[in-house]
Amino acid sequence: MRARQGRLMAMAGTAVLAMVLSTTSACGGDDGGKTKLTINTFGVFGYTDLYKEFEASHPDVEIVETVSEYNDHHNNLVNHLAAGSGAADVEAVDEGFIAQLKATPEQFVNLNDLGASDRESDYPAFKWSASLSADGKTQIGLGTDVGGLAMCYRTDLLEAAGLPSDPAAVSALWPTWDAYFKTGRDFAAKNTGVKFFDAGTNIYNAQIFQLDESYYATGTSDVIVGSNPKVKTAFDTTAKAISDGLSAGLVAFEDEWVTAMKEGTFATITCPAWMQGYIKENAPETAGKWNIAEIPGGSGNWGGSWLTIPAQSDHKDLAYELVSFLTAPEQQTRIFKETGNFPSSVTSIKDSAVQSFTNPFFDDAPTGKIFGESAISLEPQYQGSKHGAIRQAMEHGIQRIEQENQAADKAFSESVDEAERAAR
Amino acid sequence: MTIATPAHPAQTTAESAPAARETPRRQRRPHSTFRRIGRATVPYWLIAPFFVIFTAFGLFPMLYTAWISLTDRDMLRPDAAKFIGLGNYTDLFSDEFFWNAVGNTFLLMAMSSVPQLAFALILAHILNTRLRARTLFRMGVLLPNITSIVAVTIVFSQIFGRQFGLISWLLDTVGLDPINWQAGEWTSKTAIASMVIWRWTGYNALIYLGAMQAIPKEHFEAAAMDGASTWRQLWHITLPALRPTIAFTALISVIGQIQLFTEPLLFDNSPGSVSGGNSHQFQTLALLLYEESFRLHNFGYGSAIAWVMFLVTMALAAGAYFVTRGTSRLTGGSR
Repeated sequence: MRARQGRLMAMAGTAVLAMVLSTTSACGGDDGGKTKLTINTFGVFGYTDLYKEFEASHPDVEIVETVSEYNDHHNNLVNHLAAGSGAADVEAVDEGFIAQLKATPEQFVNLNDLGASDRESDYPAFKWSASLSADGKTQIGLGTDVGGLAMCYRTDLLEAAGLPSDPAAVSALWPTWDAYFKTGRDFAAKNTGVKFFDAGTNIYNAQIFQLDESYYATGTSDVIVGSNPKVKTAFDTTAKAISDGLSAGLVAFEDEWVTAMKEGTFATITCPAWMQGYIKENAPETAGKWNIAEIPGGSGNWGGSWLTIPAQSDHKDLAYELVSFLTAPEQQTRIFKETGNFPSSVTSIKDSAVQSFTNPFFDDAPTGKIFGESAISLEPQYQGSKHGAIRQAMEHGIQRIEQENQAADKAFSESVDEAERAAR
Repeated sequence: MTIATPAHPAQTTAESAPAARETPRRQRRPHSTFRRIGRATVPYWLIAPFFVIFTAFGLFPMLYTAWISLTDRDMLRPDAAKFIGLGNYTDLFSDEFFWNAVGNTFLLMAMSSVPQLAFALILAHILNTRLRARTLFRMGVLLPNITSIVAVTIVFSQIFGRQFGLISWLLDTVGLDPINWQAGEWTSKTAIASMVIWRWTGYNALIYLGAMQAIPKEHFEAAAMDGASTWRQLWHITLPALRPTIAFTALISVIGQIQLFTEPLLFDNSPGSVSGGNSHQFQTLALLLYEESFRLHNFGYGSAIAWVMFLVTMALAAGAYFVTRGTSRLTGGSR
């Protein structure tokens, strides 16, 4: 009996100890020789072949890429930075989040310390400074691509409505947004069963990204989303287009949007360079049915990314080798040809291979010229730290108009309230 | 027990008696106190793992959250946090998004708990009758509950899809307009409530079934002999006997519903959105907590929401405790 009791005590004690130990000890696994280099991205970066090349030149390295949805990717990154662990060795960051992240440069490796300062002259000033800390000392990322802005359209669907389909003629249809919407009304009058554009948010955002100043007063943290008349104009014209029946009422980037892209239920879509990759990836069967015209209302930039190295990475030097390999001008040229993502390296932009490139998926549209011209004339728009949250609040308003038939004025004032709350 | 195990009886007789009697006792005494203490503490050791783990992963985070809820704290800049007392709580009570989430949470609670428990009761009643392959059906009703919640939500989101969803497609085939489930105040809540009902009805049915089987068969036999139909039996015998069980399941379901998170999060198929629809029409408290903490990075404010949720849950649990105590005393008294 004593023995049994003793064993019982011992068991209880061991159980406590085991549970405490198992919860506190970290699992320090070592997986056989190869160094695992992790990279987290979103959307379509098109790096798969480049990873293989890097691994071939670094036999002891294994690259593991995790691709997530855009918002999830960036929010996970912020959460992992705050937690102090969990971030990958290389993290892609989009223009929509770079302002927020460079506000805490201590969370990232200063790439200038690893030799990135040599690359400064190869980037347009706006691209280099967008990922530079406020004091100008810490460079948190090297640019991969710039978005630019254009308008992709289905040649067959425009023709079906009796409209021209040649890029020059199509561009001539819509020098301004008003002209674009008028074309849309003509298109809708033909009742082809197809809507003019995919989603109000894509049309609204394109107009916002063309402004020199949108949600924040330039250089400050003053939120002007409710008082900037140009924001209101972009919102109202989009609302009008929706009530005129031009929108397919999709939620951009959701599953049904992808399905609609395959089914061809809309004729035009706002096309930053990276959108070409989305279309090609999601609707490969529509090859040759697309072409690209100029965006109404002048040039602008939507998106474009950087590769960063979180300070918590265990393989900083190796990670930098990978980042400088992936962002090198020749790789940017190659990615542009493969996915459509437009280079952010001046060498690459000026490369004749880029300038003369035509994209077969888009009926041999001269994408090198189309995006090249807007990339050169680019004026960066100032973005404050909560720009992304404000943008989402405004998008909610557009979607309320689109899907719940909310009146435009009410949608705008509710969205401004939500945006100001999010930015507080 | 102290004299139950004399060590080496053969040797003690060989040596001098008093010494032999002295030494083992002196040796044994610390042993026996140790044993006595040991015996008394065994139960505590056995339940200790729970409390150790609860302290580390339950109590400490809870208290730490309480502290954070008194600060203005940006997730990315913990150094810049400053103490603001009850500021987050006063903000919270004047925040229309908070009250919207409270309303949504309680509406969804009512819309899912009531039908779920009613269906469970009917299902249990049917399962309690003589069926072929009874065990198969009884296990079968639990399947939705053991299916991954993410899988369930994704399937339901496809059923309730906006333009290419199953229901919209069916409506279209009979010439009706498709329903934009996500957009509407009531349609979105109906869709989410249906996911909760689907998931938890079988689970509650099994609990009811267990309780039903504890009801003496004679009651039913007597009622049947008097000509009562099965539905009358359900109403007049089963239901009164199940009252404490129903109160228990109602409490568990209500507590679960306050924390409703995965269904509304994944039902929102606007990519990356955590706002519970464009008008926040299905944003629950847990979803608002998530948005504030992990999207807008207001950790202090998020923690305040967490504490309000905790207090509401405690209040409901306390209320349910008194109600069930009341009912059990009633049933006890009538016996």
